Amino acid sequence: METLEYKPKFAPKPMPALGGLELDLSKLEAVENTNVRRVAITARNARERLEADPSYEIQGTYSEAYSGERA
Amino acid sequence: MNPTAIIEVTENCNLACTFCLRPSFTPPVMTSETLEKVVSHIIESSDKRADFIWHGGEPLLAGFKFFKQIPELQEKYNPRGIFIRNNVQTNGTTLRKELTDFLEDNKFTIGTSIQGTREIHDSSRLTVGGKPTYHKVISGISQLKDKPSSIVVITTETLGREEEIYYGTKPHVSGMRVSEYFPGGIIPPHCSGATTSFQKSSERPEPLMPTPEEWGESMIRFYEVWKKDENPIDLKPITKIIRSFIIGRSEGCLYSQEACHNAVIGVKSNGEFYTCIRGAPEQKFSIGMVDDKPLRKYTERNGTDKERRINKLLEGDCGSCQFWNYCNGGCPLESWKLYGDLDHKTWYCEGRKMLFEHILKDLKVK
Repeated sequence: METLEYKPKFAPKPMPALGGLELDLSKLEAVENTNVRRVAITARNARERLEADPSYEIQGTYSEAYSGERA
Repeated sequence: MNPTAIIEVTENCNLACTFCLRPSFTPPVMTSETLEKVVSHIIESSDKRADFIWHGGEPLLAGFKFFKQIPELQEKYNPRGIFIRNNVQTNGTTLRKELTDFLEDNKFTIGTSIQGTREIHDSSRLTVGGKPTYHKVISGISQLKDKPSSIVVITTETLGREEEIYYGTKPHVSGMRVSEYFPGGIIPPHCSGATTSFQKSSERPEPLMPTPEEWGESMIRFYEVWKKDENPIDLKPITKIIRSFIIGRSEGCLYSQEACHNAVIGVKSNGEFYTCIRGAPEQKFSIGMVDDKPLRKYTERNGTDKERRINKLLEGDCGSCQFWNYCNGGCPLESWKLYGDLDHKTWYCEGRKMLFEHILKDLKVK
């Protein structure tokens, strides 16, 4: 079971990395709403890939203010 | 750097939307000479990827010949073979078959703006002459092989109408972004008093700008509508917020200082580069003309602003906020527009907290 702990980051560098909200990522299959569950599990897969390969870039990281489609 | 360049092909626009963040109707269009220099400089400054977002004004007013040059120039100046993406952000009213075929054949993604339903759209997205545009937008985007993504701006006029906006937009798009109203727009004279019953007050800096609480409640309603949809479309930033909670870092320049400061740049039609197009034409945010190769000093200049802003925010409420990693204080240019400095957290802070807490409850499973 993985529990993420929130730790405030006061230093300007490096940018805040993986943080957490005390979410148990091993229990996402039990999220009640189908749409929320689907997005959450896909995100967990991306996170696992990022942890295995830090050079992996998550799509849609950059601009969202103007572009309608980045992901 | 791996820039996302928002390029203002022209300031000119055939529409005068009530919530336009930078209403301007000056005709100049980026020349071919400037276009070539801009494309070349962005690609040579990119490590491995460059995103070009062709923006305006209304970029398609530049015409087919302008856009035809872009893939040719990107190929000419990309001997290293970096990854390049193109997106056009259009109001959709000037889309024509020849142009849409060209853009799609060359893998440009299309973003447009539909303000939900015909009624809401036609009360806010008007031509310069004050005519409605909904039918033109729907007709324009219907020529695309792939449905575009779209943006809807939350204003005081959309509050409480989230379900009709979601289901009114859904048939026409692949996904939609619910965008925060950005201050600083000027309601065009022909719309003045006709589009909103809300007044400017101490709690509302502009008539169309929701209070933080109104924004939060509206976003929660969008979220709940999306949750109940059996065949949902991608609803940003809702889906991005869920992802950020799981991945542990935010995505997109409105929620990530990393993206805001390290990637997004703005370019005006005269070839002047800015830290963000929202900052133009303020010289404080200019980083120089294309001939001066401004991206060479971009990271250094912007890094200073980033560190100062983040330190300032973290000294205040943001330092103890559990959502800092997922919010990052919002858009610096919003702070500039409202307060004249970069040191304030987002206007929508309390609304964002409401939304974050609401979504988080659904993700916490016992």
